[in-house]
Amino acid sequence: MATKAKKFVFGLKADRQLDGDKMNSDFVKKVVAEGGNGAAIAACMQCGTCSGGCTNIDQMDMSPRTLILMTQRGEWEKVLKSNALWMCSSCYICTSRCPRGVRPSDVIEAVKAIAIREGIENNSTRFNQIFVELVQKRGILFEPELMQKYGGLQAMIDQAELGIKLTLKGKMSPFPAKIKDPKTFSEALEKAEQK
Amino acid sequence: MKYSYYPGCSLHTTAKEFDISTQVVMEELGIELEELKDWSCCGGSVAAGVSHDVGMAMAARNVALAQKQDLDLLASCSGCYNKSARALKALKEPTEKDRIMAIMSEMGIDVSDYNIRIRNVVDVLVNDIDISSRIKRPLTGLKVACYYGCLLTRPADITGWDSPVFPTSMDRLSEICGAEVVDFRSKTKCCGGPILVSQQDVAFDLTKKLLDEAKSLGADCIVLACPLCDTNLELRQPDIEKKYNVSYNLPILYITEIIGLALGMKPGKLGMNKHIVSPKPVLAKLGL
Repeated sequence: MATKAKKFVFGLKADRQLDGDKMNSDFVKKVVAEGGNGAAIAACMQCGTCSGGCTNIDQMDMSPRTLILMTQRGEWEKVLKSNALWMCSSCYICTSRCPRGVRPSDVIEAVKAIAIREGIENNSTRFNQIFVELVQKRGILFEPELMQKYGGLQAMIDQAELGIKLTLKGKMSPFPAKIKDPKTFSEALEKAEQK
Repeated sequence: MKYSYYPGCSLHTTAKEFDISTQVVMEELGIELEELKDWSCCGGSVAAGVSHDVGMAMAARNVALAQKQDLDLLASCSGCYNKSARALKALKEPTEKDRIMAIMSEMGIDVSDYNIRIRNVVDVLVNDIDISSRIKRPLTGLKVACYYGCLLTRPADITGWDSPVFPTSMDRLSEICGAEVVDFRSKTKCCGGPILVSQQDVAFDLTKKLLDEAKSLGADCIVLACPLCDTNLELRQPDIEKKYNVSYNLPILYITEIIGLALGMKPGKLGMNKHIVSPKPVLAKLGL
């Protein structure tokens, strides 16, 4: 039996969000579970204001608007593999401008965390993980250690000139600072991360 | 007025002049600061992108410590300010509160009531104090480009004291100090701070656009309030100059430094000798 072509209001195409049967709420739920209710993905009407304001959109393979649409539709593979996650600098322009209260930066942040847990690896995931690991270790970040762990010897050499300048100005201590009880702090966060 | 002062990781290291100038300017204006006892890193823009709960707990710990000291928390760094304010908001939301408090209780921190406020130094300077009567040395003739970046005023539901897309607080403060403020269109564009290490080329490109515009407007310096923006605009300025074969020599100053100058303080007292890009052209223009 030939299926009758669906009618769409305002000329919206079949694959757009008004075509409710293409939506997949499982993925939306997953993102909301990670990032909290702030990620009001379902309210997105695809106006594109987020993408219009985005500082870094020209570096992204998928605009923030598309990323929200793909999340709504459950195109999880595309979302997780998108470089938009890692080009986002969390500057909140999208979130400040959204007329519907969707928070694309919070959505991206939540998807980043899920992507890392699902095993996506690149320079950004590595940096983010090392950063968190080092904060967990002492409660206070020690930048030379971050550079060394992330970039190895080469990064130390590249940064040596700046490092010397900063040290001479008294702006870099050779010794890391730490909180009073880093052990309890670290264990509590480790436990939370494994949940 | 008394605050618990949260310097964060940067103000004790790469942004020492921001730390020094904040402390002396606040003291001069009669605001007492008591350093937040046993503060830790707020997790920046990165931690919640690894685990939401871990990021929130990292930031919430400082909010809890400020609550224990029973003082509003004052942060200079935009990142520390933003993440602390976000954590305070989450601690008041039933769905988030239990998750975060459970982690903090594991850390041995138990606070039930969160009635403190999270403030940024720019917010306090522009909204709580009238500095106009305190100006001893107007910065006449100095052209400044005020750069706000992202986390200082965005998003509005956790900041709310200035426009998230067209803020004017630092412009007003600079004008009160007697400086001429240029129309800096890129003032809320992102410098790429959180992706500086992992996506260096992209971050340099974003920062270059800011330096280009400020320079083309004839600004004598960029004025800002975030150590991470300063890392990109000042500490990496020589790298950007090398990469693009350009020359800026554009001093990058913290808002507290220019206020300190206008209050009649000596540059050395404000920690201005600690800059990597020399502020001498600015001081020369002011006859200092």
